[in-house]
Amino acid sequence: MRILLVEDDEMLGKATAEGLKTVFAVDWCKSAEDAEAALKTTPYNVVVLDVNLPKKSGLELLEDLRKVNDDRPVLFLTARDAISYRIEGLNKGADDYLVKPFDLDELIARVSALARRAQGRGNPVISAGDIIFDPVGKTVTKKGKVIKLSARELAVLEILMTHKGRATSKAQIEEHIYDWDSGDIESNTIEVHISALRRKIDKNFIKTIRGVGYIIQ
Amino acid sequence: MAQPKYTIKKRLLLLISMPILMLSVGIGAIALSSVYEEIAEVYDAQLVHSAKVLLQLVEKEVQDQEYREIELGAERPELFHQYEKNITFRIWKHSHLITQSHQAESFGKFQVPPGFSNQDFDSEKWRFFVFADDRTGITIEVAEKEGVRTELIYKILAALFIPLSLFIPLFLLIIWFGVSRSLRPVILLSQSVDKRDINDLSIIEESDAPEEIHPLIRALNRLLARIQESFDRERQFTDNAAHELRTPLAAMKTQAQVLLKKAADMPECQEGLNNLHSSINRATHLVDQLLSFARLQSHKIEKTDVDLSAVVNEVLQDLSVLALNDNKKLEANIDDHELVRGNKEALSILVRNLVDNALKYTPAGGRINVLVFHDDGNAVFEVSDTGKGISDNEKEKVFNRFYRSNKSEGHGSGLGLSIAKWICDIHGAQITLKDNHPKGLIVQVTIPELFKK
Repeated sequence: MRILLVEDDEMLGKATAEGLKTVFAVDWCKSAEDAEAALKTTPYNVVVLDVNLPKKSGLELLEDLRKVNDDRPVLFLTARDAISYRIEGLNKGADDYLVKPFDLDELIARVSALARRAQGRGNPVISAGDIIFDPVGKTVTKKGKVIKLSARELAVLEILMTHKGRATSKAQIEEHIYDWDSGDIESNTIEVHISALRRKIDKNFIKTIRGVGYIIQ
Repeated sequence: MAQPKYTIKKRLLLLISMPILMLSVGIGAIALSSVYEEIAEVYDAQLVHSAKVLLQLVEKEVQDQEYREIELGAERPELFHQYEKNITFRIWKHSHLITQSHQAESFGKFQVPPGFSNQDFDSEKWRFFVFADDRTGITIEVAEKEGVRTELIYKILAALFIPLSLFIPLFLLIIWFGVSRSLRPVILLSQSVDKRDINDLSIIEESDAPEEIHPLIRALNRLLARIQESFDRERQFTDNAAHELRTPLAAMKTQAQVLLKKAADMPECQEGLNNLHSSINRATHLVDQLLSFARLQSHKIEKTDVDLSAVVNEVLQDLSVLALNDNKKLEANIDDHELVRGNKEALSILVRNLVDNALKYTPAGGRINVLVFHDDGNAVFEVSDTGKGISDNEKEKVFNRFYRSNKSEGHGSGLGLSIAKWICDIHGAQITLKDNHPKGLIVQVTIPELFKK
């Protein structure tokens, strides 16, 4: 997997390239002009692009790429966290963004996801500890052993796993189950499913934050 | 504010009403003096005329019968007028009183000198005209009480001033209404400027105001435009500062993380690198807070109808994981749909800051309770924790920028609460700090509710 990093800041570019190199093959260039030349000759899987570049900006480079129907995944890095800047980037055809300073592991995870999606292997499995959830195959394994769940339990688990690290409210879970299976939902159904999931997987797997919702760490 | 030295209203009222009052008094005085003169002329002429008539009537008779007193006979009661008691006459031949009218009896034997004169009898003023005819030796005295004249003058005066005294207050009332009405646009203008949101720098409409105020409005608009400009510059500066500060921070952070990966099997380096990493995170947090403060202050804060309950729920969903990581018990009790008028992003920052603070200052195993409820027309957002709390004399200071409680132990930037206070201010909300029992802090934010329940 080959990544092109476009970042004009010497220190940040060097550190990011080094961090990405632990997982991918990385080329690093410091200007949009150099990047254009590199993109013509090398089939990069993902481009990590700084928005603010000297002379031609990252956004202009992105626009030019999309104009010639180059749909390689682009993740842009921005130091400006105002929402308007992020929306502008996404509107111009970026696939994802990160605000500086970013977490190296998160950058690596997002670049991997973009690369997989581009290769038609989207929807990677989601893992939490030794529990692995495959959203495509709708299967759950614990230490490699398949755990049998009902359709609704799977639906509840799916939304909790996709929002891993963030609490999901009961209302959001109810809405999700309704999308999945439009059968009627009784008020205590969610609690019933949660306790079933805890029994089948691990009693501490799903945490309750009272008044907020449920969360998988 | 200092008391104004004068108001336009008072000044206009004074300037308009004083000349009118003075004018009416002046006209009255002039009219009075000329009326007095005219009345004196007319009445004196009447006296002369009466003397002349009397002389002609008695001339012959008196000459024929020298010194004979003429009897006027019984007064005829049907020929009487109430005014008659005020006029009288006497006729003399040399020094003999030949005849007199009934009213003249009080004059006695006193002979009045010829010509016009004023005489007092029995404390009554009389106006006399005396004509002495040297040829026949007859003297005619006619007299009239002064009171007749003054009474007439008083009556004329009353006829003049009674309507005037009714008319002047009415006139002043009309002026008062007129001045108030003319000044209304000015008052409305100042009220509309007063009511403005602190971030509302839109221009003031000239159309509703009278033309005299247009220069003032234009000057105000120029000032507003300059303020807007400086706001825009500040925002540009903030954006640039964000970029300039974040890029080196990102470089440090990434480098620290790369080093941490490389040093995975070097425990002697791990602690130092972890410290470095968390210092960078703190610096990043400080920069974020500074920037969000600067951005909030330099942006026009657009207000919409915001579901405070939804905002709080969203923030709690984000921050729940922090409570779990540090083994703190986070609990919430949020009433549905507490609607307020405000800026969603700003309110979200407010809620995040306060919950984040509570999480930060609560030790592992502690509790954080978050409530949203309505109370007497207000939406109340409350966060209570079981941390060390804030002493009473520090409760006011913590809202100052960069103030750090000595209990903060190196957490935090000293900006979180001042940002929270500022956001409360632009929403007309109250933020209060109370002690939690047995220990800890309760932060309560009271925001006026949109639809009073």
